[in-house]
Amino acid sequence: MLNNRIRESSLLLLVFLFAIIGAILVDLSDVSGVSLGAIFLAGILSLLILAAHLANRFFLKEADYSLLPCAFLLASFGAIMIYRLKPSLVWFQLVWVGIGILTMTFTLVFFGGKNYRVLENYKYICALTGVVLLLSPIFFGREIYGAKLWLRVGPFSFQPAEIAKLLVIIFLAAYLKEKSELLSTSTRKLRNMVVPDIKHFGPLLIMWAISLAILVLEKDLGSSLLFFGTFLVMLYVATGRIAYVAVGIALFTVGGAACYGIFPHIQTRVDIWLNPWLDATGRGYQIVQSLFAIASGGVSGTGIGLGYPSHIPAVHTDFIFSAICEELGFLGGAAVILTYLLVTYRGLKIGLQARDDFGKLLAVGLTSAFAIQSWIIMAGVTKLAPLTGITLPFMSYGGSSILSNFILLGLLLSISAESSPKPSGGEIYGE
Amino acid sequence: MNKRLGSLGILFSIAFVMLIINLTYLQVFTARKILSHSENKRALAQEATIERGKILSSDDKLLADNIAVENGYVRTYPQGEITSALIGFNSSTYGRTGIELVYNDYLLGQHEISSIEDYFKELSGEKIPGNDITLTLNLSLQRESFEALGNNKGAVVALDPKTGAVLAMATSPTFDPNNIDENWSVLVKDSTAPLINRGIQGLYPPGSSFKIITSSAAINSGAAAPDSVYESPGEIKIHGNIISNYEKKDLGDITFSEAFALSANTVFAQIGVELGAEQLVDCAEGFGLNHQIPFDLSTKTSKIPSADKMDDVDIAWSAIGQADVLVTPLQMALAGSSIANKGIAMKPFLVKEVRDHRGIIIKELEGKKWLKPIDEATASEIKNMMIKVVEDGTGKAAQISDVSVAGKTGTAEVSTGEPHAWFVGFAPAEDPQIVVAVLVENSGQGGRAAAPIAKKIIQKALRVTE
Repeated sequence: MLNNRIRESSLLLLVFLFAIIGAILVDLSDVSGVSLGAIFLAGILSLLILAAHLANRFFLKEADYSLLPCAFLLASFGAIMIYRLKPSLVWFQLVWVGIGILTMTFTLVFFGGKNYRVLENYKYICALTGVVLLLSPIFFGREIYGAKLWLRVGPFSFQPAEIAKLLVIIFLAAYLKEKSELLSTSTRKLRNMVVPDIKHFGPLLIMWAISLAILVLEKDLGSSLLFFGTFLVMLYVATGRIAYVAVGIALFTVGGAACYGIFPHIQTRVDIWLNPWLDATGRGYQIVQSLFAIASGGVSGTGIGLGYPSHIPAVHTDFIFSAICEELGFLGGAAVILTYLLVTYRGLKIGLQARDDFGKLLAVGLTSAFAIQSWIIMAGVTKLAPLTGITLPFMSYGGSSILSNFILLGLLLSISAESSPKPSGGEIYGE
Repeated sequence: MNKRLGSLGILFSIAFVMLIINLTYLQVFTARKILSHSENKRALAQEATIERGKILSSDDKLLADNIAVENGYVRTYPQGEITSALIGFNSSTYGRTGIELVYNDYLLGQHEISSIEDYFKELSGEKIPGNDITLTLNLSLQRESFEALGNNKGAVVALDPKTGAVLAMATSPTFDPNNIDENWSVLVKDSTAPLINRGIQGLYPPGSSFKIITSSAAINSGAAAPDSVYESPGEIKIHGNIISNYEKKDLGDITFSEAFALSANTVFAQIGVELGAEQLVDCAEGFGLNHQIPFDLSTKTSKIPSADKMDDVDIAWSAIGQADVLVTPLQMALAGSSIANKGIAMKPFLVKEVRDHRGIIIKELEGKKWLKPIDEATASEIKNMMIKVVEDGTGKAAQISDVSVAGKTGTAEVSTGEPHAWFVGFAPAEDPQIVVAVLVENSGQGGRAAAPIAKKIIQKALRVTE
């Protein structure tokens, strides 16, 4: 059997080829031909890929071999599209990927192997910091694109929800590990159904309140759904009680419906989702432009650099998926979707193989957040779900998002290194 | 806990597969429908990079051309407002009209790929220029028509009666398509409606020019002959409703042919009532009223009320082209064509041929029969009556030395000021080369305001076609 190092490096070699060809193709779409820009882009991407590979293999020999190639496939794809859409921004994006790899390496060093378990001890600090970060934009935030998601520190804008997401997941994993038995066993019978005791609905109500606060005060439906969805998934996995999920969905529906009735901006969001064509030049402009882009891609796309994705506002951040669908067609779009599904699958597998409940819950939480977030934005730009301003992991332009996703990746790799089966020889003879 | 992770995996798989299904729906099944939405700027951006086909007149003059600019082309119209009502415009902001709209696919070259060579060029990203369109329009006749209208509001439609080819179609006032984007807001608000092609989109009461149709109904059915004698008092009363001759002149006993030449309303009102609504309406519909005229550009349908809604008063007024009868100048030109062409109206057409960028003809159009409202004998008798109109009737202003001109004047009373002036005629009467319908809004008598314009156009046309 091939070892993980060789598997990872051969997969990364494919990503490396993909990055070079992609960068060159962007330049070839123009009459001016291949520029230094494409060569730098391809060169820097391959150096970054190499650095991440070496860090992962040096610090964690046993870590999962497919997560890094998948993440870099997405990150390279994203960088190539940013180079094609807003060439001057791609260098910032590469700096952020570099910082992301550095942070990921720290994560591997500090939390690799069994070390991630120390996070359990800091659960309340995580919870507190997470909630403060999450709610801070309400008081200090700047409103961009109609949602208050941004904090400004000096020249940098920063999306605290991206980091808060990780902290809240760490807390929930630790908390649910401790309380799962209590939450799942202390039940009573209601008619023929086994339902948890009323008093154990406390955590659910608190998370519900926080989610609604994000929705109402920050006008951020995307983050609200992401937090509550991730929480429900973790709660279900920890307790096995569908009742929690059912009550949770009911609560969120009631809360959402009430908000729909009270707040015009939420009504607008939903109305645009139901029929953006009624106001194609006004409030529905963004989604309508996105649908034009996607439709014009057809099966095989216009070719990279040969479409008109720049008609979509915010195309290099939230709408990068639409640009891919236009220029690389259904085949490119489906490939991206499947890559996200693959990461999700590997993440759940890491959870499956983790040897302790905290590891399992942490892996599930991180993976679910990743999956839910990518689903929400891809469904949003394709009008499958209401559109919400949220980034596409590893692909969208933006520092906070890149950083938090590399930390998320580092944590998943850390858990995987401990959970992967040890080389069989040692244990048998050790008996 | 592991079992729950399994179900979670299934849940996420379903969710992501839904994304792929939705993407298939958008990119494969409904893409065409989404892209056809009017707000989609992609098509226009794409099209701006294609060298659009030229539009030429039948005498090989450029009517629409392109100027190459950085990454694309800008459309220009060398003839400006002379041909704007037909060619239309091609604006990224306000869309397209006229031939630019109707023949857009041909002009872009997207209609068909005409050779294997082009197919490979297209695959390699090379842009194939669009197809050129040649119109039946004769530019010098078109210019003459436009200038003859001058500052009047009105329209001229000139056809070849034997084929239906449009030789000229002028409308006034009109617009300059070269700066449509800058002038748009003024043009749409202008109360004189310069964006309307009056020749095909203006509906007017035909006045006495309608007597061509009333006479056709009378002679074709045998109810009257050119030498039938009628009494023509200065005015008659029908159920208390007074219909009078021009200046209430008592013309005494005159033949039907004389009544036509002098445009005697009191005779035609009687004939209308004798014929009855059904015969009159049937005949008018035979000439094309109440029918959509098949044409390259969109036309308004000329109207006559249905027979069962008319009483004798309505019939009498309709017989002299008033009341609720409304026609386009194109319709009257077609009525004239039927007389000129032995009772057969040819289908009017404006586009003669389409050639691809290599000059190979990919579409060619020719005359087709459209309607046959009357038989040849009736057409010949009406023609003779129309010759008399110009020889010594109301249409003397259309006389041309050495050429026999046939025509009919019309002076249509309207509630908004002076009557509209009409002239419908053709020449040479023995072998008609051109039929022309002239309408001048609010300018008085057809014989004075419209006939001289028709004369100029006919003269020009006969010189041009010689």
